[in-house]
Amino acid sequence: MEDNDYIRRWEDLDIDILVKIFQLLDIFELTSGISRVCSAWRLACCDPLLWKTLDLSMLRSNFIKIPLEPFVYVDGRSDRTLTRILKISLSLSQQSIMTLIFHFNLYVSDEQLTYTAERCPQLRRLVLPAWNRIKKPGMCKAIRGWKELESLTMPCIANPPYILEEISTHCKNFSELKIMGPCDIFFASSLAAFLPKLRVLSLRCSMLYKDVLILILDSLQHLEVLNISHCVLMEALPAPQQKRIIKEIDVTIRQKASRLREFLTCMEDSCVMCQRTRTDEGLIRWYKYEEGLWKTDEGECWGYSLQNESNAIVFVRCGRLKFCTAMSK
Amino acid sequence: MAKESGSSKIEMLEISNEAMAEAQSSKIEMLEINNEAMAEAQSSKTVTMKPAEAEESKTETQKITDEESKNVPIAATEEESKKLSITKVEESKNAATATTEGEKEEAKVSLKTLDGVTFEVEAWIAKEMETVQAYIDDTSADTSAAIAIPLHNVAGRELARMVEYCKEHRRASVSAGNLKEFEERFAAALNLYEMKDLIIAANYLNTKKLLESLSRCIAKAIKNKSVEFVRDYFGVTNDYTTEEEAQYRETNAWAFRNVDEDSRN
Repeated sequence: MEDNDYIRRWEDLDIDILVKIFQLLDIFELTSGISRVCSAWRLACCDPLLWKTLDLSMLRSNFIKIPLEPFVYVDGRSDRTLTRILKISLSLSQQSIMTLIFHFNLYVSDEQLTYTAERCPQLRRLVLPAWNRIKKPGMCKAIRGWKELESLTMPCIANPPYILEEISTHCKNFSELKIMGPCDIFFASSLAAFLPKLRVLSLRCSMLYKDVLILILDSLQHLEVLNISHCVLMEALPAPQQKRIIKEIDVTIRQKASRLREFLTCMEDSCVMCQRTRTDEGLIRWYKYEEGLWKTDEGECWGYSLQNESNAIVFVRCGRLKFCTAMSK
Repeated sequence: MAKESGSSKIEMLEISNEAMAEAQSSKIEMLEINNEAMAEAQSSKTVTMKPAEAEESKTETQKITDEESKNVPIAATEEESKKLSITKVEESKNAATATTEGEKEEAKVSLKTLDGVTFEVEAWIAKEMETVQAYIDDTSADTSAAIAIPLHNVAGRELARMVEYCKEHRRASVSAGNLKEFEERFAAALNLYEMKDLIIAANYLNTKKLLESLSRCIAKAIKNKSVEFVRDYFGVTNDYTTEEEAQYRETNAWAFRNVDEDSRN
């Protein structure tokens, strides 16, 4: 070190400079020892700017599918890794996390979710696309802690009323819901009963019945944005036909959707995402496709063209409706 | 075309390539140009003429249509009325614009560092330093031009580097490849002490591009390295107690696996 009064040491750097540097590090680097260098660096590691979003979407469980509940078995080592990362990041974040993102193949346990909920009281947005291992009490306890919750990405579940009821009771600002899986009449009626003030709903890349769509449009009077891009739209028919795929949005649905600010649809045969939804029979298998695609939502990217390997998705305004049309390259 | 007034105000004409060729073919002599002015005229491809000769060339270029001459500016000063400069513009542009001989120099800003060195930098460089720009905006234009702006947290050495960075960055930003190469070269030329002082200066002056570039460089040095290596590399003193250290190591044993070799690369 140069012996000069003017020379400053690395640990004497302003916190805001250290924060600027640490913003360029990912979650693994932030939690793997940077905070242990010295107390000044630890202080910088606790800055709320670094912890507005805790994105664990690069972390996934090492698991195998099993025939019995919870239908997955998660390897103990990957479970411990998640626990440690949660422990350190939730300690450093000092309750400033507002967005929490889990990978769709990261199977969080009851204990991990409860631990997280207690330490993220300011949470506004939660992306939790798989909760096979979370029991009803664990989920309810977590939601009770998230009074500020506004947005949730969730899987399709067998018994939706309890969770929607918890949200309606405890999350007064709740307005956005994204369901990663088929939405049936039971789910739609639960939505109507417990979340009538929902403003944004995304059902993209799933199987959707026409009567379910009509129920949603009729009962969610505060709805502003509805995304049914790349959905397989079905119509129930009397026996023996039972059901058929609808190729385009009919006049009834258009009229009902005309009050929406955004109505995002795509049912093109040439669209790669639509083809994928059909191939996967309305329950899209995200692990087969481009990494990060599962997180995408047209409603969030309005006005931009979403590029992926095989197609460009473009949004077109048609009257008061917005349609998502896909063009093959 | 506007008519000339009694005080013989000469209009500056936008002459098309065709008209320019005609004007050149009329073999107008270049008069009253001293050696210095001649050199200047040649370097900027400027032909300077007497008013009378300019008149002559004007009559030859009367072919210019009314539409073309609608937006022609009128020479306002006496100096402009004495000399008319017909500048040959790049071939890509289909017009030769008449300009005044004295080209206005870009405004400069004086900056005084903590070790008493005064720098005169171009206004665009001062603009890159948001703290300096804010000072200029807050004080009147006259004051900021007359007084050297004091920079209490920046030494001459750092400011010189920042000015160099701004200039080089501007040159290199023509292509992304050049820019990346330049930033790597710039960072590689700095030792740790210089980098630390420069990042403090860049933060104080809020020079965003330099701050981002240096932050990236330091983050790269930290990535996937052990705590001991980071301490050693940056010369940071460990102010944790032995107990705290042991406890931390026990709790986060997983964090000490799979780190890079303790080397600078």
